Amino acid sequence: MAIADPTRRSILDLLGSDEMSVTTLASRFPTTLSAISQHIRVLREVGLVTVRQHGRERFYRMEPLPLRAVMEWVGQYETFWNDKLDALGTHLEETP
Amino acid sequence: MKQRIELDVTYPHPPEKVWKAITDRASLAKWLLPNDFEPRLGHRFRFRGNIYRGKRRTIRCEVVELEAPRRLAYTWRTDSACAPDVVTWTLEPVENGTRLRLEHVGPGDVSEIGLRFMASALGLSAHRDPITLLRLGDRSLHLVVGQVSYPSDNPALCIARGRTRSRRTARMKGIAHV
Repeated sequence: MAIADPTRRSILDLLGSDEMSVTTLASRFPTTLSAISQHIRVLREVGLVTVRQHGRERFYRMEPLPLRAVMEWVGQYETFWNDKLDALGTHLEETP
Repeated sequence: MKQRIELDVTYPHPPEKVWKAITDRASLAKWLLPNDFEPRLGHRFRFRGNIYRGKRRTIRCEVVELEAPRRLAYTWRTDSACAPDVVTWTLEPVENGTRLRLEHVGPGDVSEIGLRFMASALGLSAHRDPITLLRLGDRSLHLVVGQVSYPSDNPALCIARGRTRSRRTARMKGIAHV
């Protein structure tokens, strides 16, 4: 695994708000297109970035898909338990 | 790596009263779900009702820890094909009330090796700020290393809620992590 580079965090930030082609992305950094390509490759390998093909262009965005399932599990149970603990509070108030 | 939800609430009622509310079948039916619970180690029981998306379900449980009036834990299984979750209730007397902590540990879905690769690719260490990976509604998912609650070098996922709610005298904060 190549030594981590702070550029990758910045790339992730940019791809988190919008999808971009590698050229658009590279224009934001004082480094070569090839270096940016390399960073994207690593980010794809670890499952943080996905690609969408549109004609001849490829657009990258941050999309940690396996983590989305985790987020949904947490979301549904957190809502459920928050509501139930509210109901427990009401029950305690209403019980002598 | 396990998914875990933790909720922390203080109620202005004595521990024995809160203990009864979480271990009495009729009380549970009122605020939680219809059930056939009994406060007995090894007891197998069910909850029936909606958890999310309006779908009625049967949750199969078994009491695995019981220490009145402080600690209660049971397995929680919605799908017989999977390993069960574990739900743990911990009560602690505090001034003018009871502090209740609820922990729900879910199926171990997240690859720890995968998280290590992510953290490593991003140069994440205990000295760096968490990295936001995902936002859904008012929740965001962060990748963190070495936070106070999880003092290790292993990367963890942490979900923070964008707001805390307070109802009457109960204060709730949900911190979820994997």
